[in-house]
Amino acid sequence: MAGSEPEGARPGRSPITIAWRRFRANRLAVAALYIIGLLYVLAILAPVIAPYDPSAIENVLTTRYQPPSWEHLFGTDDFGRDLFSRALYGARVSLSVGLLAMVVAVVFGTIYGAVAGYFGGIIDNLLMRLVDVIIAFPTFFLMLMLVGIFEANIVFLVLILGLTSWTSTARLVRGEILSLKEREFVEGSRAIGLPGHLIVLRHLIPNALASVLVTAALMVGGMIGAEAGLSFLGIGIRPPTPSWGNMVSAGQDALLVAWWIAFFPGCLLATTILCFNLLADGLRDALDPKTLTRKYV
Amino acid sequence: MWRYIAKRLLQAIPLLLGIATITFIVVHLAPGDPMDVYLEERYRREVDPQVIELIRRRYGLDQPLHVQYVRWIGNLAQGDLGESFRYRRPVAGLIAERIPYTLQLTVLALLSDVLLGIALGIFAAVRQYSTADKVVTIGSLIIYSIPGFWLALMLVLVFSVNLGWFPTSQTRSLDYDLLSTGEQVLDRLWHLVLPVFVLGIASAAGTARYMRNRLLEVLSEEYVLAARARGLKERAVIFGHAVRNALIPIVTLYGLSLPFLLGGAVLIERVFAWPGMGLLSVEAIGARDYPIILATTMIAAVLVVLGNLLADITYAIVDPRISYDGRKRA
Repeated sequence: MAGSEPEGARPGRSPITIAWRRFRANRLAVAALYIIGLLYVLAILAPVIAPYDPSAIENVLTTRYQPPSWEHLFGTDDFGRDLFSRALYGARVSLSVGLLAMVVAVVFGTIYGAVAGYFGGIIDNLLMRLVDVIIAFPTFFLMLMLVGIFEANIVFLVLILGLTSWTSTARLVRGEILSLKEREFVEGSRAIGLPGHLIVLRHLIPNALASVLVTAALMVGGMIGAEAGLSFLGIGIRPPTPSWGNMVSAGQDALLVAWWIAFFPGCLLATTILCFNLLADGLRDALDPKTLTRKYV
Repeated sequence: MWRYIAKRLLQAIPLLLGIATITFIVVHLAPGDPMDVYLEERYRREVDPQVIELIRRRYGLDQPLHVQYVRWIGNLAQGDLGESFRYRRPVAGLIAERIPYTLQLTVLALLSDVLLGIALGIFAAVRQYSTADKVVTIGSLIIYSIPGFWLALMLVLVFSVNLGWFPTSQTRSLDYDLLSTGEQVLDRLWHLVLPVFVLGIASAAGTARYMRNRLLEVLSEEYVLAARARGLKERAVIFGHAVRNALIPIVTLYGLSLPFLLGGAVLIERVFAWPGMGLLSVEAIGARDYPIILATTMIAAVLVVLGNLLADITYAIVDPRISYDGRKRA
């Protein structure tokens, strides 16, 4: 950074510009962002890039269990299907489930927390007691039970993942709102007669968004891991639809003859989750006003 | 102190009731008739409807839902967890059989987590921004990001399949009964190495990151500066003042791991065919064995509530600034 001047003190620069500059200085986080972008592009372009049909089974006897080669980058599985193509199509499932489940959790949690924090009193009390009850379930266990009992399809899986994971966001947003609503600019908007829902939407939620963003990045990684875990247990995404989790599971059965079946999808999972964690770390450093003061004042 | 604990325990009752209610509703919203599970579907049509009616009555399934609910809660309060559909045995007995296996795994994993995680956290924090620090922080983030079940498979691949150092799965060898007592202990430990390693290292990575950040925070406190100003040796400052204070929130973290201790690690138990609580729950979900699902969920939830309570109490004990009625003494 070329900053001999204190960044935060310069006039005419929005907090977003400042945060973006600070984020860009973190090379690991930027690299993570690029890799994530690349993975999503690959997933979207899967039908174009994939060299084979992901579910095509030709002559099983001659094409099964082929080790990685230029012809089959990730090798072939027990049905002779091309694993590189399956991994690309699996990326579509894993990446979109992770992202959408995060959106469900964050949107629901933000609204819930904002309502509790803004209205306070009995409403807050009731809403937060319900959060206490839900938090008392170990999350993965709750997902397991719900997904297993209802034999979830993909849409349902996204909803279950999202609706079991919103409590931390709700608590976070509630806390932020509680402290924000005592601040002068909120009192000011109340004084000029701005209706309550506009105060929440225009002033409170946008100001709480910085910390929500960090949780959101962390959550995508967590969701992708959770979906992989459930699919590994055979109750998330079920074959023949490929997801990275159920591909690893298929690889476990063939571990002795074909290590590559489990190896590659697991690498992709680890890379993706790692990148989201790095991204969250970078966002936290870039958005946290505390590190701002420590570094620049 | 005791008043505080009693108050917290009383507060836990409505919470547990809420959990029980939600669990009950969820399980009974599930599609399908429990009888299909009890009698495998293919036999279902051949069985005399009167017999089915008898079985239904035996399990109280002929009663309306609210009656079933009240009866279930009543039994639960008395510690009666019901009878498994699949095993046709009391659930409590089944769980009691699985708990020792889970405990072996989780206690050892937690132990390695504590030792390794805290040590690495301190190691990295006192060398902030050095190469060693970067290796620990980035390395722990990488390990933290790797799905445990996949790491387990890869370790099995390398250390069991290729090198043959450790067994691929199970809790003991086939010839276990023929071994002497000493050899039996070794055999058990030998089977524990890989699963404990995977569980331990993943949570140690999290602990190390947390410990490092906490210690760095504490090291910038004024009392650390004061200790240094008094001319204390760095070692005394770190271990006598900083680490002790940085450990306080870590205690909370471990209180919260109580559900893990008994609930087991579903995914790792699956990889190693480890007959613990986690595997029991997954199998029960696969087989729609509702009494077991209800029981394991309730146990897990009770443990979360107890874990929270335990964390708060130990927190109050180790941090004299906190008083039991929640006010800060300052």
